[in-house]
Amino acid sequence: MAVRNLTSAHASAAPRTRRPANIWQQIWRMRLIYLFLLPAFVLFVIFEYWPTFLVFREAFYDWDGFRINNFIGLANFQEILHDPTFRQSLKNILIILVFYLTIPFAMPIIIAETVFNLASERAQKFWRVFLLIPAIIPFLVILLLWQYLYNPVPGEGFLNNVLQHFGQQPKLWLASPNTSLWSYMLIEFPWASGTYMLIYLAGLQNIPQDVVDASRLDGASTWTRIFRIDMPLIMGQIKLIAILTVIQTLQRYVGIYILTNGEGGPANSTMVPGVYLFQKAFNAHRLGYACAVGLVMFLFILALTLINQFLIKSESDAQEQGIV
Amino acid sequence: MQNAEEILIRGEATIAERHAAVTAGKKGGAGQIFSSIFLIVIAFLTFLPFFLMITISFKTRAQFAVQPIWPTFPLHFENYRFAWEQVFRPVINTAIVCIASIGGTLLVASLAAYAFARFRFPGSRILFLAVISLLMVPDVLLLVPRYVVTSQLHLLGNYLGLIIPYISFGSIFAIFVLRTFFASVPGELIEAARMDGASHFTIFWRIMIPLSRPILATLAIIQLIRVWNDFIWPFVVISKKSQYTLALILKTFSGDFGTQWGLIMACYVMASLPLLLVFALASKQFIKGLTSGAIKF
Repeated sequence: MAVRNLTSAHASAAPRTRRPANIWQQIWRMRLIYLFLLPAFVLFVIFEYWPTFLVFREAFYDWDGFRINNFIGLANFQEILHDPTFRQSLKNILIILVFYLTIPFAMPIIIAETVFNLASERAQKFWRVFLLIPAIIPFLVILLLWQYLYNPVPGEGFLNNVLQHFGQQPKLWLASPNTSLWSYMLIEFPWASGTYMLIYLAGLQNIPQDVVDASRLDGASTWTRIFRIDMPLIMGQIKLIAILTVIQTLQRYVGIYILTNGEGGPANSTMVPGVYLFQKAFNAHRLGYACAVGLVMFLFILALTLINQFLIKSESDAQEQGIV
Repeated sequence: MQNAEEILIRGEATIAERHAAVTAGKKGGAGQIFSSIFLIVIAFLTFLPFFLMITISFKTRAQFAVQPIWPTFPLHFENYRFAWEQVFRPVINTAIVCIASIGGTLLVASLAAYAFARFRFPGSRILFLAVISLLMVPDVLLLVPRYVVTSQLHLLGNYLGLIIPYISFGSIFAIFVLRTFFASVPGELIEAARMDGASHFTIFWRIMIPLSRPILATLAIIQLIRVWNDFIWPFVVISKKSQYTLALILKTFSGDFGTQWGLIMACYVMASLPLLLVFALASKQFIKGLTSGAIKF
């Protein structure tokens, strides 16, 4: 530990004799070190801490970003809670969240387990890299490709072409309030996310070979091994990605913003809080109101993350108590 | 299977034999075939949009009208010439923003991380906590006030309005990662350098930075993927079309070129190539960047 910090080794030897009132001297002695921190903290103050402070303050203001700036108490929050559009957006994001925690959440686990069980190591390597390619394509290209698949113009969109080929009625997909939210959620079907798959696969490959061998000697079938050994041992990764999914899904809006040209439409059917915030800030120029929306979202995310962590914790306690 | 068990039980198996025995257990014929079929189906569905993108990118409008799915001949490579003209400038713009913000992030973050990892100074713990707590602030929350700050600094419509906030944002996670790495560098190395009269900055620049090259590369890739894919921040900061980044220009294609899907798809292919190229050159770092970047937030 002594070598960890040479300067403080010098420093701690001296102050023994006259300790008090030395804080400024200490700071002065370490002035070079503060210089190392300076660039980062200058940026953080301007682009992180000050904006964070602004959000908390301006949520209680009527603010247009430059001239108008009047304190209005809780009026913004009252309006948010009574706005049917915002309620619709909350409902939509919860539907999206619940859906993303089902099949799209399970797919990377299933695929990782399938790849892990392949006998040939070369095949494993191949699938690992191959399924990663979609993660390297720009997010916007994938989104716009799906927009093309869903294109409702006769003879253009792929999905309608396929439907018509099989004698089905074409659908409006993203253009109809009845199907738009589902169409959005089905983007990236079959959700073979290479990144999460890799994280699970790394977890599976970290399982000590002895454990797997022992289970085989005991005559455990592949299925038994998957549920009794593999799953419990990658529970850490599963929990982590569950929490990430919740946090990231609640913040999702860019995709919807792009696909619906910033409207969250048709008829608010794909409205989510992020799009709502963006509209209020940059179309209606109600920046104070948008800050309040952001704050509500933040509290919402925080609450769900805490609940999530609590649930997952009690679940792992159950495991430790010998259910597995 | 019985054979495999015998080898393991006798305990005299070589490592190779053990491996063979265990993988023999894996080769449950039907299961393997089923697994492969499952993966092929998944891959087919995953890659279907990309397959369509490539086949359509070679079509003229007439070819697309007749056959919108399968390839048609002749292939029209001139679509790519057109796409190159469309995508070239935005790719350069995006590359400038990416390179500047990656360089800035790595420099700012490694300086701060070095101070946090190697020195105890008044306020060190509180300041580090202050950095870590920024990891919990969601991006959406700060969109509006960051926009106002950027506008007050007269950085709207300017690449600096992209680059500087990207550096700030990217440094948070980078400090977090680099501090752990710097703390793990053996102290003897630094002590020896101190003995030779090296200054803090020399130690940082001559020892710490060269040692942490792999992790810096990973962080660079994380930042690259983030900045390359970001849509919303350039969308609010940049307004002139000549300054558009790739994400911004991509969104305009389907509006500008109407039903000329061949041209649009060729643009999409072109826009995908730079990152694929980086992946081909540095796949190891790229994979690391993708997986550890996913853990962020």
